[in-house]
Amino acid sequence: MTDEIIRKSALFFLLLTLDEEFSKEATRQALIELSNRLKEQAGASALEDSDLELAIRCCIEQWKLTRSQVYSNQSQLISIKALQWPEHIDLNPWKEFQKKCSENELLAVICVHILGLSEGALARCLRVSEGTIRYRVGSALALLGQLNRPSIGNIQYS
Amino acid sequence: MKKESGINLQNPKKRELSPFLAQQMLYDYSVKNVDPLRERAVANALQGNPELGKSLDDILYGLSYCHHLSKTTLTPELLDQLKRPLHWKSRLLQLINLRTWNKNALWMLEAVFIGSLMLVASLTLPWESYITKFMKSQHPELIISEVSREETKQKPVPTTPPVEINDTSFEYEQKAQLFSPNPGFTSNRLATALPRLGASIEHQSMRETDDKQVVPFLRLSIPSSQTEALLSELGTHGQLTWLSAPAENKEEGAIFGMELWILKEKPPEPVVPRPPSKDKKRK
Repeated sequence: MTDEIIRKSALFFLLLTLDEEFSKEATRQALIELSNRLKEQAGASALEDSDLELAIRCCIEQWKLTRSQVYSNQSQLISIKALQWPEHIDLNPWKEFQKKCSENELLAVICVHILGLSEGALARCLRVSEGTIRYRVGSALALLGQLNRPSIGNIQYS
Repeated sequence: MKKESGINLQNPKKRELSPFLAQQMLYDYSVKNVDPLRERAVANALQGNPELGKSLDDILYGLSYCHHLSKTTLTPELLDQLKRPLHWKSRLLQLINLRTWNKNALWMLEAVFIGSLMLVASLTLPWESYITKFMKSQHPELIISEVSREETKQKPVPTTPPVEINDTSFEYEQKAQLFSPNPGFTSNRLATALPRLGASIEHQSMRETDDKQVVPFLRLSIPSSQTEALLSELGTHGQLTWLSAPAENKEEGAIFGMELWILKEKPPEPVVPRPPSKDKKRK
């Protein structure tokens, strides 16, 4: 299990919940499950999933199990100090986006455009069609852009 | 353009998208996931619709923001915490925490808990006493048999007071036999014989004998013509021990009272005459 997988698993929960304590525990659980599944796959003849897809799958399952704890602590959102943010980035649009966006759209944006999972792999994890994933990502990005527009005038899309 | 077969394979006109379709294709257009024909159609739609251009800008801003967020890294402390294996205490705490359990496992645990509770309750609680109490509250009086009292109303039955059990009533040897309780002959059995003979139970109670044994005590009223039949009935069963009947009532012949003790063993004679008191013997 590489540092990159650990980073992406932690980033999944941190950006999804903005709750540091919850994210630590959830990431630990997801990584334990991931290591178990990697051992199972090592015994099999052929690998079914890539490591990143398997890690995201474990994260999503862990999220489904424990999300009720996060929703009960919505008032405890804090600025996350466990992350090293890129320079010149404002976290307020993301906080606003995290409140306004639906859970499915938030999950799609994080997995596809922040963690770098393909749309097809996410569709397999969530058991929906790729078109559904593209629709969720498109509408979520439009909302994020609306919230982000005044503050990132200096950022150019490349 | 027409081929030799005459089928028109390509529309020479420009393909125009409706605003809704163009809106739906903006994300694919922004990530360049559309074929050239659709790309040209979306580009044409964007030229004539400033609202669509605004939506495309939003998507591009969102993509740019996500691109920057994807460069976020963890602090070395957090990375170290996540790499470190869990302590056994925290693992145990995680196992105990029911919130992290699967829903099916929780339901199964709940079912097992409720089932074990019911099993313990069914084994430990005294259900028979509860049922008998409930039945008593529902039917406070259990009627074994109903006897008509019309005749007794017309002619009041002279009753004799219950015979006192003392040393003057019987011989000591007989008393030991007389007042031993007999579980085999019950009042139910007697009650089935009495209506057939025209007899009725006037009084029923329990009495204590000299040797501290509690025996049933019955006071009966019966027509005089049925006395012999009753005696033979009781004698057949081997239960009759002693009968008292005032001589004056017996002479009238209609109805007289009698008192009866149910005892264990059959006496040698079905009817035991009342023995003379000891005082008379002494005299």
